[in-house]
Amino acid sequence: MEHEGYKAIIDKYIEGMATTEEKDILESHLSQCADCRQEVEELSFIVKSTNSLSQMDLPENFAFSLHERLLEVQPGKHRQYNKISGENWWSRFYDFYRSNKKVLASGFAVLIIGIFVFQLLHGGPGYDMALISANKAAEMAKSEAESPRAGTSQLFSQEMASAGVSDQNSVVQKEMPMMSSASENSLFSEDVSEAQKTRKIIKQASLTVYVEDFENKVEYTLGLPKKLGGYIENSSIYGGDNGKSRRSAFIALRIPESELENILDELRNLGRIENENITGRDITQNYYDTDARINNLRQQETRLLEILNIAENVDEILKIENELNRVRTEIEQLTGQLKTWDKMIQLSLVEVHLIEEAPFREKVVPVRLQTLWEKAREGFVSTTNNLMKALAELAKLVGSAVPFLAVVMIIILGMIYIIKRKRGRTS
Amino acid sequence: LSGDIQLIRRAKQGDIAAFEELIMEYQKKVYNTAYRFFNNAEDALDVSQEIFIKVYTSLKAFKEGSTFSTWLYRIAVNTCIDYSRKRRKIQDVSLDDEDSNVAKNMVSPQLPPDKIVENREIKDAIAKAIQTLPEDLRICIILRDIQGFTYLEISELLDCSIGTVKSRINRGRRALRKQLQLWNIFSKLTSKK
Repeated sequence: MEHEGYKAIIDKYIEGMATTEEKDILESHLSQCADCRQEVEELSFIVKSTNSLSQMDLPENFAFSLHERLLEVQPGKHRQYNKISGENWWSRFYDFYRSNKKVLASGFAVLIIGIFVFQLLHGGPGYDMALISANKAAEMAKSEAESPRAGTSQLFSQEMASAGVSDQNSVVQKEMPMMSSASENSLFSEDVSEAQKTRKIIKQASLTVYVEDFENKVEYTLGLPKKLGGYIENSSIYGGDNGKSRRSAFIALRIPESELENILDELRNLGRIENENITGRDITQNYYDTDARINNLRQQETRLLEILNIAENVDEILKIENELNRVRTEIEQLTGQLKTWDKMIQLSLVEVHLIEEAPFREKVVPVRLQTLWEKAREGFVSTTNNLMKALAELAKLVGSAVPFLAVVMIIILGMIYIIKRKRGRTS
Repeated sequence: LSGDIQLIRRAKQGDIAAFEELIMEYQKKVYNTAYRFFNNAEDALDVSQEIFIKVYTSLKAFKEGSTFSTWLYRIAVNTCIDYSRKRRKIQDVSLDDEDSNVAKNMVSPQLPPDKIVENREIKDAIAKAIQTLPEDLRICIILRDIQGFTYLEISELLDCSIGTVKSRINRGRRALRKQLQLWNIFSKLTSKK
């Protein structure tokens, strides 16, 4: 028997599945053939060692992470996993994307560059598009920049408040070192409320109310400042063109901050609330900054006055007067600002938009048959014309897109060709 | 077995607890198959979990007449092979014209010549050698020689004849031998004897 013939027996032999007859034949051959003997030895060594490869324990987090993933795919939670075909479709798409990432990416790059070049050559809409996107980006950047600013200012004021609290607290502790911890706590909470009281917040409210008895309600609203204090900042009434349209009134009131809740309650009772909006703008930080600046400027002013007293020649005096003038102007400006803020804080702005609830009543107008027919015909003609125009536009669009589509097709075909070739090479 | 059917029915309704009870006895075997197939814990974990997710999501397709274990192992085997092929493709793309033959790229395990070769190192070498086999031979060797499935069971799992399974296993073992010879495992062994 040839060596090759023994191979089949060797395979059985090493698994211990050879018949006694085959065993005898092989063993007599092995005693003569060193090559086959080595093969048998080495193969049984491999089988033996492979058999003895140890079984690994499951990783500790196996059950847990499997459970998490099972929850994710539990039917009813995610539809696409529910349908096996859907999942396959997705995974196939994903695999395709992963295995052909490079080709796809370069294809798209070519496409995008192509579009850019195309648009550049033709001028036209590409420029507008770029402009629009740039504008959008700028807008987004702006809004992003604004929101954190609001956040930090709030944070800062909180920090300030707490810093103030701790300072006061330490003073208290110095004065009364024997104080028990319980009373310390109560003091602490008082300090917090103290700190909150000094907060400077501008409150504004706006309401849109649908009311039924329009004239009386408007009058009542205009009378509110007299009752609660404050004044009318602005009031205007629109519409009411012979009962044909709804009337509405826009009234802006200035009401003491303490009365804000009361007036809102009154206004809510007027009718159906469509929209209610209350905002509080925290200007604590700005307020105290300005205050501190005024103090600084005052000190500067007194020092300038002192210098003015020792000034000797006219030139010096003029210079100091100039500077003094600047400082005083600034003090005035800042004080004015503070006063405005004080007023805004004391008197909250309440904007009320009253809208007449009862809609205007439509009268029944008899329709003349003749004019109806006429109108229908006109409508038909104009619709047909519009349709024709739209179709013509569409045809124009398709026609002008043909060269572009051709380029796209060529790129896509190229990509398919490359992918196919690659697939052919790997399999 | 009737208990299994109960569990399967509940799992089909989406009952995760029932499903986890159902797969309890298969987890370790599936994980170890994947572990030997990829020879690293990370892939083994990923793939074995993927397998159970697949089993869970396609449980509706399981027909009650057939054997659950066979069905599960079939999914396991296919997932391992698919995953390996996919990864090879990705490697092909990233390596491009480089020689992607794993066997050639692999550094032979460092065996200290003057020490007695430890059992563990031989096992390492074998685990690495199994890695170099093509997927169809690799899975057969793992199922037969590590997991101890019968030829008949393997032929059912792979959907091929017993003859094919036998020939793959024999070819696999000879390929392993060649690989170990290439790394001089045997010569070191005999010289120590």
